[in-house]
Amino acid sequence: MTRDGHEPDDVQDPPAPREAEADDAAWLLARMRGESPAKEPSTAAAYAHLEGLLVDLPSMAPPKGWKEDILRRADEAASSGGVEPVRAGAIVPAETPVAPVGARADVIPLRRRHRGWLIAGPTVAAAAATIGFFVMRAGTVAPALGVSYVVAAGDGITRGSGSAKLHDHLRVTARLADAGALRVYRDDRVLVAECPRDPVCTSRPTGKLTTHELDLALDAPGRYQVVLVVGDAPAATGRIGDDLAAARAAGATIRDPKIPTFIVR
Amino acid sequence: MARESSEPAAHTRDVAAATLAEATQRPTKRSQIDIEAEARALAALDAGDRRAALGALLDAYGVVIYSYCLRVLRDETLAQDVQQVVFLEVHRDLPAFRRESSVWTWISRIAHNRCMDAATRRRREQQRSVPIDGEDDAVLPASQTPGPDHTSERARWMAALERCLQRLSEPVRATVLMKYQQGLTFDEMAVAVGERSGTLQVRVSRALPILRQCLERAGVSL
Repeated sequence: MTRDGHEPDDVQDPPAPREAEADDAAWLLARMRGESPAKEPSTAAAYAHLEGLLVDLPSMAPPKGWKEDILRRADEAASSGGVEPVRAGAIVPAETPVAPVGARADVIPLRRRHRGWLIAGPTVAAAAATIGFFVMRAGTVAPALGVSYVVAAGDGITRGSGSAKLHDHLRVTARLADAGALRVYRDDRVLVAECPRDPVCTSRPTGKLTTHELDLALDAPGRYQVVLVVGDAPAATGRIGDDLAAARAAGATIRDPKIPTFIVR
Repeated sequence: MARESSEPAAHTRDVAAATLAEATQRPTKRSQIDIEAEARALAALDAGDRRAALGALLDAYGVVIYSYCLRVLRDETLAQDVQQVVFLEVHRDLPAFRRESSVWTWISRIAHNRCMDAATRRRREQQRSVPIDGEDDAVLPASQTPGPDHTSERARWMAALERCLQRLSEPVRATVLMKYQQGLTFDEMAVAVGERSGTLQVRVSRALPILRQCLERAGVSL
């Protein structure tokens, strides 16, 4: 535990550099210490350029309403008598409803701590949902139906709730107790992916369940909707209305995976 | 559990004074310290209006703190959550702020610690679960990649740099960002991070050649 009380980190300092990089690192270190070591002008210029790029990285705007959200929560805290903010990533009790990653519940009840009530709210719910997903994945009580999703941009950044952009990846994990299918439709008339069956899916037994993992590139604009068909159903035609009706007629049930519909432009 | 002290220790008073003086002389392009906003915030605090003080600090530092959290954590939802936690902690602890450092250094310290906490917890949870999305750093950063109409070479450099930054571990990336994006001196970073200034210098000096090599492999001539 560091002196701030936060958990120690595996700092993972960069490994010892190779010779050329070691020379550069030694020169950079000397310069940072206020010395004036000699260096090839081209190398010095390269690092000056790199440092300039780092300084000029653009700011990234938070979602709309961010300031008002914080002020509102501060007002709530003040009116509650100095309530301690919940740390991002705080573990919530098992009885807390587990929402899919990226989803936000309006309120998540949190257990009382010895210092007083904790704040409940959408942003806490989002952090809690993230941890809740992983708690579920870790093998605590696994429901017969478990679904989670993330939308990932190409640079690895995970999108906020309900948002997706062209060329993002929609990654869904669904655990089904019985036969079933995870389907993604676009614009209600194109079946873009189905687990099992499609190459974008992997399916594997997980105890008595089957876990389907879908990784779909959102490479065409449109409205993407995820549905779960639990039970045996006829092959999909692509038209969501017809497919779901046929599935119900065959005795399957349609489950809401609680994944938002994504409008991709 | 005792409340965590988020105020730099008293022995940093000289460092704080020196860095404040230095900050006012640094080019504004590098420095993120908003002296006027901090003065307004502290004046509001002294007048008993903590909300107004928070508002002034949000205006000055809200976006840059979010940017820092997002680049460290690479998760929009988590970054927003951490940003909120940071400023709620600022709001809570403002009355106890001893003004021995700039408010910016203090906020940077809180942001760094909360980001590292969130990253550590996420890493531990991922180690206990089957990850559903693997790292894929071979893909161009879609959010930063210039669109088909945007052929600026500088934009291409920036996109490549964003991608190369992801190759650094979170603590190293955070240190580089604190130095260049947040404009902290190594002494300020030492106070914020709780590590020695020399250690941080070594970290950055080793990270820059890695970034340079990554950029050159990506076709960026520095």
